[in-house]
Amino acid sequence: MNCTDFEVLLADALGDELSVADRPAFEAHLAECEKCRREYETALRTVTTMRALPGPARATVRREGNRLVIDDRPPHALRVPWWLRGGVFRYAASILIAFAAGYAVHAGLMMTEVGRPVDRLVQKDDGIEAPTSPNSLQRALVHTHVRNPARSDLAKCLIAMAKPTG
Amino acid sequence: MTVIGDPSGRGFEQYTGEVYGWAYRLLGRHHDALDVVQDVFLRWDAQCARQAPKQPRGWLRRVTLNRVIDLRRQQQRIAEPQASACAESTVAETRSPQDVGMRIDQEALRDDITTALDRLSDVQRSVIVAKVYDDMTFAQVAEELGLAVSTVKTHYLRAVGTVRDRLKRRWAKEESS
Repeated sequence: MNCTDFEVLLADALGDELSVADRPAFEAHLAECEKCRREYETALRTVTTMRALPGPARATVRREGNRLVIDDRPPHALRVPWWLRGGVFRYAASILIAFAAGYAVHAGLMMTEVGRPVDRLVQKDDGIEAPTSPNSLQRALVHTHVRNPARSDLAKCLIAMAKPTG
Repeated sequence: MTVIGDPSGRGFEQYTGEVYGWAYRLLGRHHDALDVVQDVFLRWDAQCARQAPKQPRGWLRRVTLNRVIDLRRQQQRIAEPQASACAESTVAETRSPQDVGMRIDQEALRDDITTALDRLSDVQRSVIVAKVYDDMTFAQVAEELGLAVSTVKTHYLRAVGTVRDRLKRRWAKEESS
């Protein structure tokens, strides 16, 4: 094969259409002719560079009634799951809502356990508060302790329990 | 979501994705590609009102490439503002310096390729895009363009040669740096 024959086959080689029959002669000429090899390599690099440009082979188009619609996002772009699209603020809001709901549930439970309207406390002469009925004494003590454990005074509570009410 | 228009039952729908693909590959920006799609659609509609193209895909490829070249010329004419806007959008859309560098590099590469395509004839341009991006055979391209296969091969070689001459400068710069 000479350089003129090589030129004839060059387009086929670049277009991936070189026949099996022509391939050996083509490759043999590439091996022996520096000029043709350089020409082939630069042409192949050109085609490869053009092919490497990122982009979709075709976009996804859908019909909505009488209109054609292309999605605004590039078709080859990474699809972000719906739950990641809101960003950080959505996460922060979710966490806040979860905490608020937890607190509300917790507070609600405490109300049902302890805070059923606690019997009105009566101020005694010695400054110790005592509930109006013995049955509510325990509830009042627990209520006081839970609301403010640091300040609840067990000794006063015991005295109050020992004293007769009314 | 972008509405292209009312296809009026003239067969634009089946080619819209390909028109977008050609435009996006060479322009690299979604909204530029959509502009081209809409413009090509209007021309297609006007053409169909007169006479439907015998080879719709070939016709659309040629018109799309011409429109892409026109758009590139317009952008180069207002190169400075465009460059700064491009840089801003590039920074805004990407996340890391590597991404920014890669996008700027691709933009320059697209610029080189479209500049080279601008120097080709309509037929050469259609041939190289059909071969490189649509993976068509020489026989298919020849049938679409109504030319002999050997003529198509000649056009292909010349087109590749023209693009290669343009890219050679780029490669030389890359190798020297």
